[in-house]
Amino acid sequence: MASLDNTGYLFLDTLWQTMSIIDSEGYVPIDNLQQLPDGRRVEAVSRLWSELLLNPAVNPFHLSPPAKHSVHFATPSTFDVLRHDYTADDLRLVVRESVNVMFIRVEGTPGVYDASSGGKIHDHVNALASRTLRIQSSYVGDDFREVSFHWSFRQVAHSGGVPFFSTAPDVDTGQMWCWANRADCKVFNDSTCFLCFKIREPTGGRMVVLDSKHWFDGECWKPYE
Amino acid sequence: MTYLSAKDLFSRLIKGTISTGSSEWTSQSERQRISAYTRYELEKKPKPLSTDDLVYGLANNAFVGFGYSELRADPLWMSASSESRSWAYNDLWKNRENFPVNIYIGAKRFRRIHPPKLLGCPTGECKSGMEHITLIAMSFLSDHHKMKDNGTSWVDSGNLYGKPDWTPAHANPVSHSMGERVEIQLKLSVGPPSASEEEGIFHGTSPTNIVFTTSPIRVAPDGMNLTMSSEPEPLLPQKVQKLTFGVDWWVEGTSVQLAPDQTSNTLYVTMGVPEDGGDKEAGITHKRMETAVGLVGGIGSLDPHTIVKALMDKVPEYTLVQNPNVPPELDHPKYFKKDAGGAWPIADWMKYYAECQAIVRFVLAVIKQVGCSGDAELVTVWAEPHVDGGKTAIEKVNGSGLRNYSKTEGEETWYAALVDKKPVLKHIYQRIDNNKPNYIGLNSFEACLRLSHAGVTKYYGGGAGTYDSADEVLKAFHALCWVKLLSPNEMNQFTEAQIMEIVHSYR
Repeated sequence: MASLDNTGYLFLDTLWQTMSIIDSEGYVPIDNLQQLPDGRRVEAVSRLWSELLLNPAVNPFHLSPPAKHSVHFATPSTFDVLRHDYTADDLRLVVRESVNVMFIRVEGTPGVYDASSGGKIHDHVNALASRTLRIQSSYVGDDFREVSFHWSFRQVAHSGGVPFFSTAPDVDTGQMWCWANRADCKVFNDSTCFLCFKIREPTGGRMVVLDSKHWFDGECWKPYE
Repeated sequence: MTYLSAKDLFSRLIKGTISTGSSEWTSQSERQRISAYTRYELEKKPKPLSTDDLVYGLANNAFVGFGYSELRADPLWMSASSESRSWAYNDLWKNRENFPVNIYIGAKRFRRIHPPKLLGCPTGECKSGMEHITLIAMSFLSDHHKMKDNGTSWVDSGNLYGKPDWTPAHANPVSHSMGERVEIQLKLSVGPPSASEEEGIFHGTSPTNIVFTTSPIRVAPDGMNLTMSSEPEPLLPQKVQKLTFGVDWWVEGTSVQLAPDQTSNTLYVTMGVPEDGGDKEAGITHKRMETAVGLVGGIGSLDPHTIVKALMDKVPEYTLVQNPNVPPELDHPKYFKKDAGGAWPIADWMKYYAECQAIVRFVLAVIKQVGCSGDAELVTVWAEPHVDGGKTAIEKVNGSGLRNYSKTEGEETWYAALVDKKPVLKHIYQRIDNNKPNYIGLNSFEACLRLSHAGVTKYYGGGAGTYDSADEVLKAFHALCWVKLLSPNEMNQFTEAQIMEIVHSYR
């Protein structure tokens, strides 16, 4: 058992590591998301977040032919993950999402940081973000009024040997109001990966915590129905 | 259905206050004979019409019809000269116990009895008599003139309905406050240009007995704009409703009749002037007006508290969970998409509930659309440990409550929360599985519609009951507590909470 006071931001490294574990454990292809126990809602939630987080040009639900979907079922050390593989706007994308987070990996990263050309890596990150993410939009603030935001990534540090970026590194994801308050990015040799937090504005009055091991069976929603 | 005795009807007929009924119940040929009629269902134990009654009515230019209520056939029309139909009436009446009988009473079209009163020739050289008085257009002057023409989607889009409101080619829906006189303007064309001016009195009769009448006026060739207010009595009924506001027009005293002689508009009768319903629900549109008038009209009350209570009851529960049956673009259950109409689509998806704040926004939008009186707002209600020990409610328009309300205790951070079960001090509860006994829900506020009207203020929780005060709202919770958050998940959200202090219990 750990409390906020002794976890700091270690959880972020744990999150990235867990995704690596999930990738190594693999995914099961699925033709129709509604084959999942709570499939209709899984798809609805995924569609909603794809709308909120992704540039419409790379929304996996807007494609023809459609994106390939696969799933990872939670294990004791992992959580339910839905994966979309597709190409859109000349970008090869792998989107992996739990009920709480969405990783958007751009493979190959064309126009990537090129040290020899003197290109600035944060320019690359922001340029790629503008193609893949809905970097400019609005959310409902804590006074129930519309608040505009515009994401701009800045390099924070090297994390695990790769450059790490965030729009708001000081914001605690455990306490932040909603997804718009922070997004992260890591630049790897062969890809650039954005991390977004699927946190809706807590306008229902309840402090919501979703159990990411129970997305596909719908159990994570039970306390809030 | 109006229940009146036949004699009352005749009496009203003679006084000239009989109005139109629904035109679908008569044929075109009858309409040519009858300028206005209404259908009345006789009382359960009616006083049979006597011969005296009939003579009384028929002698005063009345048309009287009787028919079966089940049959949408033309009623049997009777007049003083249609003796052959008298037997039909009598036969029908004798058997009235075997079937329901409706009585139709119509005002005989006013026909010119005296020669037209010629007032002269405007051009100085009259070559012909008046050949036509053409109704070109009609506009309401007393309507709200705020409604946009989007009748298909919830979005605040479309163009403001333009004037005129009626021409032979189109008819706008209009909204109008109840209990008021109706003011309209007719645009007429009179010809030919060389015709003599005449004197005429313009009449219009509409549903609910609203009558328009001018004083004798000069009817001159060329264009005329005629402004008319309905008679002081009756006013538009004190009822929120959608009316087919058909008016039969005629002119008394001229050598030709007005043509066309009918206008018809959908009239949304509201409690007052429609207001924009907040941020995401702002805008007055045809679809929204249709919905709001239908919902409020169906309640059958003009009391704002009764209306709000009934509307809130239509979405009896709240949910925080997206329902896959609701199109994702509507953003169920938050309904935050202004470009999807905000909370307005709840009207289509009530059975899947919504967040409490969304339910409140929806009801606010509906009552503002119909101009409901009272001071209504979305407020959040909560309590804070440092304000009267949590005993007194705090309420704020658009406030976010206890969110991130914290204090440092030694090396720990404690958060204030309103808990939804009776808490046990020092107990550790989990927050993710409400099927297990040690579950607890942490809340930061309750969203309510606060309505003040006629000295009474009530708080209507979105799917969470009605309260007489903000302090009462707090009873939706068990207690205000300081909690320590434990066991972060991969998001650094805490899946457990330990009760560190019970600040105040509400139950």
